[in-house]
Amino acid sequence: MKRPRRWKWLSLGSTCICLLLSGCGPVLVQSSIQQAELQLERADYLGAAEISPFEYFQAVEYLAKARQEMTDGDFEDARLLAEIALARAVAAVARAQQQTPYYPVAPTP
Amino acid sequence: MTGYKLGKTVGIPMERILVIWAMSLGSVLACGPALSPPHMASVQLSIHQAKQLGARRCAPQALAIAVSQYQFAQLEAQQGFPSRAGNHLWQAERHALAAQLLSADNLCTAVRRESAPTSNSDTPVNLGAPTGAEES
Repeated sequence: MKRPRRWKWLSLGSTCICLLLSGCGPVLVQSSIQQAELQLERADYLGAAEISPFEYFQAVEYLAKARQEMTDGDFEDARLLAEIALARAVAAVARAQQQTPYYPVAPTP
Repeated sequence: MTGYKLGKTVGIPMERILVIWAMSLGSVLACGPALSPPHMASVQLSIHQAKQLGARRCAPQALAIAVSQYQFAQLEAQQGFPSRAGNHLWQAERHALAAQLLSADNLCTAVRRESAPTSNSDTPVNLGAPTGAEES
């Protein structure tokens, strides 16, 4: 039995979309985790562990959990956790910058 | 073999004894640390007490870990991973107690009284899970 050409293209298209979507998950997570890592490095550089330890260590914990979720293959949760880690790291940086009178120029991500 | 003897003396077939034994072993292996609503509530209370004692200033690292681990426990419990949730809850409990111990110092209380709260950056994190530990 010959399959109609439309179905052939439809199945090919859906396969391509599935492949693209499955490939994008890890990339998006990796990007979020890298952003959070950069902000944490910045926070570290500004001494946020001393100045705003609560935000800093929350960021550290969330980043570790994001990495663990990524290893487990739960990309959506990993991305969310990495974004929270990023937000906490940004808060730590902001607080460190506020409370340090003459802070050095932090490396920009 | 004990199962065979037991089967012979009690009258239970050996296959059945083996199945029961395997099921009980499986259930023991599958269970992680205990996770129950009262346990969750007690950890939440412990975190709250640590905050009241001034852990934000005196033991920020321990408090941050306790709060984060509690939120991870809530997340894992919601997603149907009680064993993982139990592990996170255990960590949260340990760090909340550590925060309490580190904050119970007189000096810490004095510092807490002198200083007013400066920011509200530990606002609840919306991860799809209710963040009860953040409410103080």
